[in-house]
Amino acid sequence: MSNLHALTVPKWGMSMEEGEISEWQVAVGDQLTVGDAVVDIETSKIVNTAESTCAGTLVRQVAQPGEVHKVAMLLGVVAEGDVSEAEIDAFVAAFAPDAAALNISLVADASEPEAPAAQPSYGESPAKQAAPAAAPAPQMPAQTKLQAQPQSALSQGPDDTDVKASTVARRIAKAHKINLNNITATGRHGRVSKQDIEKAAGIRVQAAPLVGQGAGQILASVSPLAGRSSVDDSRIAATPVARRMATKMNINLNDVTPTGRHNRVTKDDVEKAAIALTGMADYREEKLSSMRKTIAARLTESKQTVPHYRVSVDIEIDSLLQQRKYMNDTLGHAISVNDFIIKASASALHAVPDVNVQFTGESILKFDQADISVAVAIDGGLITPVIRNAGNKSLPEISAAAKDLATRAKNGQLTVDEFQGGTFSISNLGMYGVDQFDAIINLPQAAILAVSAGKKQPVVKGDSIVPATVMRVSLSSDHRAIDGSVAALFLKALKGFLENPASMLL
Amino acid sequence: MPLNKEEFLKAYRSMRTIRDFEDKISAEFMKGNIPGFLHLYSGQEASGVGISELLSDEDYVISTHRGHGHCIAKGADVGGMMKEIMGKQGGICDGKGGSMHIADFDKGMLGANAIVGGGPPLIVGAALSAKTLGNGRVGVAFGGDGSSNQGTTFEAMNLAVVLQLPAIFFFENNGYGEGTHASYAVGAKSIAKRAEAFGMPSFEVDGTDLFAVIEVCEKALKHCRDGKGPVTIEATVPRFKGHFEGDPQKYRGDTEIERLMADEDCLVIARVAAKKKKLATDAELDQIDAEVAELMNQVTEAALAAPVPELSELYDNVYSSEY
Amino acid sequence: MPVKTYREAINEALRQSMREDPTVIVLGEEVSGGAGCDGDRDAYGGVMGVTKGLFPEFGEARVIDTPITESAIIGAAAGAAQTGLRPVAELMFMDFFGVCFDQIYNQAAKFHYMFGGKSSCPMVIRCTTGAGWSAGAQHSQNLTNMVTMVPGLKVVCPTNAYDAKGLMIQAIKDNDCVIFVEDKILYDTSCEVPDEMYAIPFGEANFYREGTDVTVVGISNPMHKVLAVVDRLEKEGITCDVIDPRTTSPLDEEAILESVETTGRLVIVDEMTPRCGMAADISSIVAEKAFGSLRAPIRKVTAAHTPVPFAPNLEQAWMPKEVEIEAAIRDVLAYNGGV
Repeated sequence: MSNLHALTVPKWGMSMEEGEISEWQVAVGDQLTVGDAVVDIETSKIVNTAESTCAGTLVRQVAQPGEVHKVAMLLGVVAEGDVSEAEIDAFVAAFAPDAAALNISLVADASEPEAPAAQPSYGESPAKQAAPAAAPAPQMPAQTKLQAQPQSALSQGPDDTDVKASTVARRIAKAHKINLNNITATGRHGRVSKQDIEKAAGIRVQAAPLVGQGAGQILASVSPLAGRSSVDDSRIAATPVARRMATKMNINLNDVTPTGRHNRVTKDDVEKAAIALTGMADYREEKLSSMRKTIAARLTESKQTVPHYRVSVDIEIDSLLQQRKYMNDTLGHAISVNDFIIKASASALHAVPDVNVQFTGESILKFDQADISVAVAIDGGLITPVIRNAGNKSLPEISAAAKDLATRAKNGQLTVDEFQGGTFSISNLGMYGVDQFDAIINLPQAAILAVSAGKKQPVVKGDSIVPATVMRVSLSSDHRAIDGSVAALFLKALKGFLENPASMLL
Repeated sequence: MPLNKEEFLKAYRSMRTIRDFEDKISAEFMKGNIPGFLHLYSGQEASGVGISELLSDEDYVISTHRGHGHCIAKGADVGGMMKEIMGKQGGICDGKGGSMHIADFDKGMLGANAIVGGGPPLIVGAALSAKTLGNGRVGVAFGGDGSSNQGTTFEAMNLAVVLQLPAIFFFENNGYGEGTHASYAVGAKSIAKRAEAFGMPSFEVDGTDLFAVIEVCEKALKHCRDGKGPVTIEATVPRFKGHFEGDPQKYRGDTEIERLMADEDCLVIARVAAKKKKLATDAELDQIDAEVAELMNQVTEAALAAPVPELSELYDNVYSSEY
Repeated sequence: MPVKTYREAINEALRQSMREDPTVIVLGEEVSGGAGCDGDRDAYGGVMGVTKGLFPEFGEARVIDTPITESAIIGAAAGAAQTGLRPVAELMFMDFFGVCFDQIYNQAAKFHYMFGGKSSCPMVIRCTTGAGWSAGAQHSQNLTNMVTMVPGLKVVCPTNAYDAKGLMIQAIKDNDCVIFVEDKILYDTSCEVPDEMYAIPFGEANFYREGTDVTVVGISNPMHKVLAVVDRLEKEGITCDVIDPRTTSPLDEEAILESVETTGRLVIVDEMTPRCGMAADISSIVAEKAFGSLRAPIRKVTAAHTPVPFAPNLEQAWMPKEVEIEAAIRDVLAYNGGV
């Protein structure tokens, strides 16, 4: 069984009589809940979006863009449950606007006929005899909630002109058709107060955002920011897309020059204004991937909780480069400078084991094995696969492992145990030509080595200046576990190994 | 008209009541049972009683900060007064006024006033009422030598003369305006003579002599009640106590107070004079002394036992008609 | 209905009250004028003419010219009030509070309380306020705040002739010391005033205009500037609740709070200094009791924090101005985009 409900042209403003359909925001087949934006309608004063007054599936768009329809006329049909096209046709054919709906006023007026006490139920089509037990009456559009539903008991009574009441209370009573004789007075000097009426009638009258005609347009306030209106722009004509964009970018439509039809602000207009006003071009918002979230969380934690300090040293790698050239060209290996650095770091960790530690708060963990985490840039982030026991691996073994891990990392094929753990990290940005950088420690480790590019530079040897390939490395250490001298010793050892690779044979 | 026996005994009782009341208050103050400031009337009894005996309950008096004596002299209930001074329920002003604002409107006592010179303009108003309503009442503004110099006192005197009001400006010159002697602070040689310059008759009298005071006051009151305008009386009196209770009184001469209490005690002087005039015997006066002493004990006990005002009374009587 | 000026309305209130109650007397400097002089008696009928004609009708027993002795005048009025009369004393200018303030705030205001309810003080002190006549620093102040803050006093400040008569009749009937503040600039303004006696209760505000956008409270003289501004703004579609408290003590807080609850915006206009004036006091009450309803900060439009200057252009600059009132209303409307 299904139920059909009509979406009708709402009445915005006392003088609105009709509107031009501008753009549907939902398509046939879309699910709607009460309050969803359904269709943009343009009136002589504003462009606004009609909201759904019921829940269900939009099964027919009756009013088409460009058409002009009077208030309370049919816009579309919403169905709960399945319905046939024939049923929809019948519903549309039989539709008649509710006479009372046409007379709905926003502010209760003594001259207006009283609205019927029961909510009009659009949903019931004459053809339906066996309607389901509960045919929910659609909610009236938000604006008409302002209309007083006169509480019939409270509005009866003799002339209440002489009943003592505060000015505001009297005004509210009049607007809500409440007879003051029915209200218990507890105000000053025995008068009926605003609170007395509110309590009796179950209402609360508060200041509303400005709805007064003209109030929004005419407030030529001097804004503290030149060119930035602080004035209400809800009455400025704009395409719905332009309005959404302006809201998103925090642009006041009063600051935008309109070039659209009927002097509306268009999307283009907003974009032009945006650059001028905010200096910020349009942006796309990208949701955080879980990797990005992890990076953000872990590195923030590290930076905020670990007392980082950095020690750097310049390393001449000419000798190393020569050795590498021989290994690769002559012996057929494919060893990278980074492989050397991995090996040298592991050796340095064995030489200065006090860097191969972790701080737990209660104790310091000392590791005998050097498991080196190597930072690998991947799509959208980075990951640190671990080369286990690098100190006891040969250069070719390290090289192979590093390549394999890097490849699989880029393809997202690493297993968890391959990138968790590690006792020391290396981050190498040398391939980008970086001169110097410092890295952030990967907790729970206590140190990380930042490697920059090796560049030909003048160095002093004896009393001469000679060119050498110099690579700067920076060690960030956790001062809770590693003291300055220890870090310095490590770097001294590392420098030793990298400048004299043969010493790693010892 | 000289006092008869009954009138004298009444006056003596009134003087004795004042003396004992002030002594009791002083003792209770030392024990810590009385909050705030106290200014005791001891030594001045004859002057306050002298005029009050000639006034009816409908005549008005207004007093100074040293007002207990005037209040008792005008017939206020001492029990209510004791409670008021202790800040208790049942106090004559519901505990809202205290010593410096003690009053009894049923007896025409318009209140002690804590503002020096605050009283005279108000009494001029009371006299204005009396004259306008034609009820024959008079108003007596008690003041000290200190208040005689206040602008408000001068203004009040002038206005009373201009409007020819039945007001008596009664200055009890006890020689001290707080810790400054009147001979220093009052430029004129005599407060009474100075008042004459305002256009009214004045009288000077020895304030320790009850009979002399009464004689002078009768003349003054006749003048007023005859509609001839205001009068000033200056009575010279001793101040046995300090400006306030607790005043070390370093400004007074070494044996001054002892001498005053020995030589210028109006109760003693009255007793002597009364006996000479055959108005009373020692036995009768001792009887009165004993009765008053007993009354003081009762009144003090009752006041000590009385409860303090309810907290809700804080907001009572701010306004007289609906707020 | 007959149209009367503010001055005539007060005169009528006094006259009718004095006819009805023989204990009502009037006293002050020049309330009649000519005392002891060779020329006319009732030469002034009050320097502003408010008490004209009372002396000829009621005589010197009830219309009393006094020497220039404010303490004695006010003090005598208080003492007379305690003892059976209902005096209406005139303090020629509110600025003269200083000369007699003890009698007002220490004596008259406190009798009923200090004496445990045993003595009341049914008197009225009429005084004038209002700058704009180049009367100088000591004859132009509005010191309504100085008496509003004293518990025991009541303070009345009518802004039109109708209210002036009704409030004066009420003030004379009232059993407490009432300070009746007459704005000298308003004496010649007029409106319909009934011939019969009527009393307006204290503590009930009057709404000059009703609207939904802003609550504007005006005290004494600037009220008419407020109305000029509000009526102009109404043509633009901005509508205001314009509230005249009529009495600052007691103050009809509820009227102001209820209005602020429906408009969310408040501007208060008075001709006092910005420190500790009525605008500051009402701001504090509303901020404390209706904070949740406010959609913009409360704005005060007051006189400048200086003595009143003499030169006319400076004096006008000193006073609260229509452009300031208008700007304040627009500002509270524009605050935060009008939300």
